[in-house]
Amino acid sequence: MDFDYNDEQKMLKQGAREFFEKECPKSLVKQMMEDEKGNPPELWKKMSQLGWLGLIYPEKYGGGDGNMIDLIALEEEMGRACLPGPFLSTVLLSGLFILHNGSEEQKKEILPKIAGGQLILTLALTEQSDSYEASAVSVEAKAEKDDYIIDGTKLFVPDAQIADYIICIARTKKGDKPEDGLTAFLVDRKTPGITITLLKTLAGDKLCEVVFNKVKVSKKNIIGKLDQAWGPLQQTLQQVKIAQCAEMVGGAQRALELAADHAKKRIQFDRPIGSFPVIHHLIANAMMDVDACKFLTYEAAWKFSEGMPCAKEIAMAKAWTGEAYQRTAAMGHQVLGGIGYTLDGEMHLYFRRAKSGELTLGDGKFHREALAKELGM
Amino acid sequence: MLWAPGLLGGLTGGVQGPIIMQHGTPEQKKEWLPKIAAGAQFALGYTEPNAGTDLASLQIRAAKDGNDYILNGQKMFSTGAHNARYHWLAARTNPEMPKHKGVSMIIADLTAPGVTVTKLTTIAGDRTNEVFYDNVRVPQTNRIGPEGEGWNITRSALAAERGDLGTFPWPKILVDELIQYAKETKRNGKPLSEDPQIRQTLAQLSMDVSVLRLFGRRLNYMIEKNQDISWSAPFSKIFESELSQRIANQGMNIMGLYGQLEQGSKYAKLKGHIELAYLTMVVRSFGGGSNLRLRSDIATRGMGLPREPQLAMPVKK
Amino acid sequence: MNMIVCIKQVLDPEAPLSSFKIDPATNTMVPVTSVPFVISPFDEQAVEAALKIKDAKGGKITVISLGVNLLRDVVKKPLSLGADELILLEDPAFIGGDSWSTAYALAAAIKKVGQFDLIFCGRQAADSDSGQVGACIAEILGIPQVSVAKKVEAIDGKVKVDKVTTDGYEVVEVPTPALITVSNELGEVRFATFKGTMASKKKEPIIWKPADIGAEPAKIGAAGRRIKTRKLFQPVRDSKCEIIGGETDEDKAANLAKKLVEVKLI
Ligand SMILES: Cc1cc2nc3c(=O)[nH]c(=O)nc-3n(C[C@H](O)[C@H](O)[C@H](O)COP(=O)(O)OP(=O)(O)OC[C@H]3O[C@@H](n4cnc5c(N)ncnc54)[C@H](O)[C@@H]3O)c2cc1C
Ligand SMILES: Cc1cc2nc3c(=O)[nH]c(=O)nc-3n(C[C@H](O)[C@H](O)[C@H](O)COP(=O)(O)OP(=O)(O)OC[C@H]3O[C@@H](n4cnc5c(N)ncnc54)[C@H](O)[C@@H]3O)c2cc1C
Repeated sequence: MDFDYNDEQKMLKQGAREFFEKECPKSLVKQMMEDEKGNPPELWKKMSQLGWLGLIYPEKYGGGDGNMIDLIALEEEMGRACLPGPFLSTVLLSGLFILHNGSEEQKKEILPKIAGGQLILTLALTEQSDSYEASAVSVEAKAEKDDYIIDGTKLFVPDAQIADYIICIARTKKGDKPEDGLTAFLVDRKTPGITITLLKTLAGDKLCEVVFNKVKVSKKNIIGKLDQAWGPLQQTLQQVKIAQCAEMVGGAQRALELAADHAKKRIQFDRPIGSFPVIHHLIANAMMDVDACKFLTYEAAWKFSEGMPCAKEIAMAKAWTGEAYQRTAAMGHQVLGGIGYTLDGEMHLYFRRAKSGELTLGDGKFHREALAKELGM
Repeated sequence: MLWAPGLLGGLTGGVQGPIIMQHGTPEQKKEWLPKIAAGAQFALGYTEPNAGTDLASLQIRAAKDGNDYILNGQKMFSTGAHNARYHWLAARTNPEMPKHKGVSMIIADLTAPGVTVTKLTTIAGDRTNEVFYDNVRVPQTNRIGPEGEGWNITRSALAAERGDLGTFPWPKILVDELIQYAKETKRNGKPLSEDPQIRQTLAQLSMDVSVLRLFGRRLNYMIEKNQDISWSAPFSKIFESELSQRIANQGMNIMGLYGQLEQGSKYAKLKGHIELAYLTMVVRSFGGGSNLRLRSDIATRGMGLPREPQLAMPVKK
Repeated sequence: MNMIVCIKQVLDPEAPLSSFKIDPATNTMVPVTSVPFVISPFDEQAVEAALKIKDAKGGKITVISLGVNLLRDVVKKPLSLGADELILLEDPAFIGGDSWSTAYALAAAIKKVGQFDLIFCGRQAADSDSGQVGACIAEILGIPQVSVAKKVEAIDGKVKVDKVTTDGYEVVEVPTPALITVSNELGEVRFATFKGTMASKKKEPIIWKPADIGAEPAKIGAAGRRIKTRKLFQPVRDSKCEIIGGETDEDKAANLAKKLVEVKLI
């Protein structure tokens, strides 16, 4: 494993940084927090033109044939920029699930349109029981001739308010184990019976309640195998978590830099507050914390891209990164004092996203438990 | 490594060989390298009663007299000095110079007349020493490197040692032992490893061990690429020393009342490792560079924060 | 259309002034490690000018850079944007020069490339700010030069250049081959696509040493210097902040304009 990106990845990362500084200033980020759609269409289009939306897909589906390390280089910059919009839900959660499980026809139909910025998708997994376990899925899909009828409520569905399609994970059979009998349906959002309510959130990201009231979906719209969605879904989630960790790495790194910059400039007691050893300690702790995030994430990404088993590494990266990002941004607020507490500042963007990132796709506790299992306990 | 005690391995760190290779004269190389290769033992003589973290305040005096230096003063915590033949000394050769500049590296013979070695016992039951020098003669040819360069030589040796701490094997060994213990040990009829709290603790500790491993590997990577490691080398040192203490402390909680049993005593588990670690690991937080001070180094060198202003009027010792 | 673009790797000029220090004893800049390297921004515009012509008319773009420790992830950027070839004059003998000795080496390399219709340079480098290299290259090669271009169009055997002046721009035409120095008024530079970036992996830079371009050792780098630096120093600037008031935004703007006239800034 390398502790540095290769030349092309560095170019990608640097280019992305310049692009986002210009096209995604923090004023836009803040505007999008208030905006109902939460996705500036121009920005989405430009990212598509740069080949970033399809980066991770194979060329034959309109993609760039990139690997996981390329993706995390870009993700770091997205985190730094606090990029709004449905990259995670559309490109990663939905796109990767289709890429790994969809029929050739589904892949040919959908992936080029995601890469081209024409389609927004999301994945509806979690429900009111607030858990990423299989047992938490209660939304049912009942067979009726050539169709299935989906009934129930999904919660915390990202970006459903702008999605063209929703991949709904529903129970099609009551098996012995909760993991059995789950199926993924590609549902057109305009299908009668779907009601979407946008929820107000800490980070201004768009989470929705999606109610399926006897929604009719054709059997043809099943992605992957009937009753067997859970295993494949977990594999996709694993991959998405690596990318999400990289996004948090980028955010944490920026929060640290903002704190250090402020500490160098802010004069109190006739000297820069950054010369107080207490501030040195805060910064030093955060530096170690952020480096730990980086290396755990890089190791997970590297093992993944080499096709090696990496469940342990992913659990560690997600557990550590979510919590460390939060610690770093909280530290940032401590160092910035009152000025950081105003909405004009930027630290709060990281502080908000740190927490939502930590909670999304399983928090530290969840992943430490996963790790304990991996350790044979 | 600066200390010998139980868990922490053998005597002295083998810093002398590389330093003599780098800074020694041809004669010194001829004299010392074969001795070192043959297993000559050195004790490290840096610390003094008034020079700990602030090592540059050391006072032991090496005054020139003909072709010799005459040594007078005291060293503290010279681990292994009661067994070692030689003392790897940082001594003041010029008291007129600013404190960092008047220090030289000298090899003293611990069996020479005027040297007294007395015992200090650590909380972990190991021996370290005070060493007193009373008009001890050392030939000037025993000075390694130019006069006044001792500080720079010492610093590079200490930095190497700090990086080296990243490869310290004990955190991983202890965590693996604790995981095994939790799987095999039942409390109230259930394995400890089924207790959710204990699962969380052990998972966290094993994550920490991974981070330590990655810090160490990154350091090697930076050394290979010739990058500046002055700020990243302490990452390993700080993280490892504090992790070792966490492991010992939380290990005790996992093992409950058994945790406190010493090695060799009846019912002792895991060879008493955790009890021993609980005491031994304390030294690592301030020895080999104090974690508190190193954090300031990291923030100033790595992130460009301003240094703490010096006192206009130094406090009298 | 065969085009050549000269680019220079510089320390990021956006970095805070406090990152840079000067050693008064040697009249040189103290090396810094905390500031990243970038392509001098005007040179990026020069690359963009060439790319625009390639978009419109096709052609080949050869990029040349002179220096030492040229970071591949920096100097390969034009390749990721669509340039075809990268030549690095990378040798300690090339550095420490002045505008003339740098231009001498670049001109020698350009002669070796042989085929060219247009040469692009940035109007000046973001570090030394001399603005001479382009003109010197044109002089050495004996070709016409147009400076501070904001728009460049190729029209059968000629080039039409919009050239920035203090209060507008002039439109001039030159026959090819010619050298154009490009200014920031050219506008936005493009971003590399993912595919473009990855494709640059396959384009390895060509490295030329002084002997490869037949350069006389006495004329390149420090040996070829004709300029002597007497004194290099950081000017100390005092700044004061004044808030300009006014009832409405219009008033404020008018008051600001008055003030600027008063202090002879406009
Ligand atoms: C919502 C809000 C309401 C407020 N209401 C009022 C009000 O009604 N009236 C009023 O007068 N003020 C008010 N304040 C201001 C508040 O009292 C200040 O924010 C506070 O005193 C901290 O000062 P500062 O923000 O300038 O931070 P700074 O003083 O710049 O501190 C920044 C950081 O540096 C650290 N630091 C500074 N000096 C040292 C040192 N010597 N040693 C170690 N660390 C140091 C601080 O702990 C902090 O972490 C309000 C602030 C907010 C955010
Ligand atoms: C078992 C053992 C073996 C040892 N072996 C050797 C040996 O072989 N050879 C040898 O030379 N030495 C040896 N030492 C000495 C060891 O290197 C010192 O203990 C160490 O340098 C700390 O110095 P001190 O004990 O005087 O503590 P002090 O320097 O007095 O420090 C006390 C506390 O103050 C803090 N502190 C001091 N300065 C600062 C600052 N600027 N900023 C923030 N906090 C600060 C420290 O972090 C520490 O927490 C040994 C010590 C022990 C206990």
